[in-house]
Amino acid sequence: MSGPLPLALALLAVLALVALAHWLGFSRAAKLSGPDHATALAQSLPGGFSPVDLAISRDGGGALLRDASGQVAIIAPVGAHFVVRLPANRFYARPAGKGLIEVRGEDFAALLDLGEEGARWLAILSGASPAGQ
Amino acid sequence: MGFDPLPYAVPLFVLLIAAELLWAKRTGRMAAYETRDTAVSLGLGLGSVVAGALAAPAVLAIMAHIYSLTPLRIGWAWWAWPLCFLADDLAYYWQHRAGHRVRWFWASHVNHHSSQHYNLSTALRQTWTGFLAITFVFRLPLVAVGFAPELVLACAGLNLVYQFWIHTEAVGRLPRWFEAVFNTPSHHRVHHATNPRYLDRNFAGTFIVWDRLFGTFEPERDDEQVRYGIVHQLGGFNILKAAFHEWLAIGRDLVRAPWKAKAGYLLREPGWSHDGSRETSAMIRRRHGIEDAQ
Ligand SMILES: [Zn+2]
Ligand SMILES: [Zn+2]
Repeated sequence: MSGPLPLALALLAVLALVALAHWLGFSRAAKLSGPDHATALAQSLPGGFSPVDLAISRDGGGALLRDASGQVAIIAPVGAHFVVRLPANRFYARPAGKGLIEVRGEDFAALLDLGEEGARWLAILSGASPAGQ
Repeated sequence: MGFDPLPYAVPLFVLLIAAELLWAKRTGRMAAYETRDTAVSLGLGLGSVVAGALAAPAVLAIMAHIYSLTPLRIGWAWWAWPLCFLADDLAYYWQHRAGHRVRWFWASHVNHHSSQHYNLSTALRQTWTGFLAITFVFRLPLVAVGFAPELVLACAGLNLVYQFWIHTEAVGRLPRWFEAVFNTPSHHRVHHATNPRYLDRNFAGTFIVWDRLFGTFEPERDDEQVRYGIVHQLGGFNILKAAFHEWLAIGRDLVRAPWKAKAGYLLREPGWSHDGSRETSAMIRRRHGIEDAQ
């Protein structure tokens, strides 16, 4: 891979492969299959997470979970998969109209469609103390 | 500079990734790839070639210096190649194991693991900061016992090329004798998994025998779905974050931690914390009732 020309060729090949992936339909959104999926994902938090209350966005694109101690976990989409986060630095949640809640943190964002559950979860989120502080 | 197999392999890599994309589409395995994830993986691969080329003269000079100090000479006889490949694979095993057990080395290796997908493009998520992490020290003993530096680097390159094809879900299990000796897609899926039982297992490069020998082998189970990536998954597709995030996290921890704990954040295993607020692989395995074999 010496010299600028092979590197330029490699860059072209990269762009071609990315275009092929997009063209074949691999630019898909993440979708939770149900409460079990969300609960399993939350297990990756330090010490695990046992939800007593859970709401999944109607499009499957994220979820909010609360455990017995009142701690809230957020499941946010990243590409075709998810990340699990606790409210921490620069975290906020706000209504985004029509039952939608926008949840945003340092390295994640989710637009959750919780319908009638939205207002209740917004109240829970506003009471959730940022973790580790 | 001696023989570098990578430029010869790259066209093959490109063709095989295209073929795997078409296979995934045809068989309806739409979870196999994600466009932005693929872009980051391939971008990291491209960047690692540049980083490697920039570091190569310094690495070669250090190796040449050690070679000049040792009276031992193995030379370039035909049998020096398989012998060097085997020795280099053993060195790779320990480099890779350290890459998972020492946060300093993990900071350089984590980007290979930060995709939640497992496909041939994942193989190209190679480090940009290997030189910074001085991971090449694991190869220096080979030079010290008399292998020529160019031979060692060529074997390291061949080892890397071997590891490309095992990053796939398209291959299930191979014949038993092959799975017993070689690192395979099945063994390496385990290595990329975040399932507690699979954490920090199967560090092999080419020969899986090292994991069997040193107690880090874990076979893939048919009754457990593999989840890929890292315990604290990356929140986006910023390639610079993918390349450097753990170094930045180390920096933050070093600033914040009390003096007595600072070295721990640098040299202990990833997930270690002085106040127990995080989890190491061993802690996660214990939480799920999995005994450590070691
Ligand atoms: Zn690894
Ligand atoms: Zn790998």
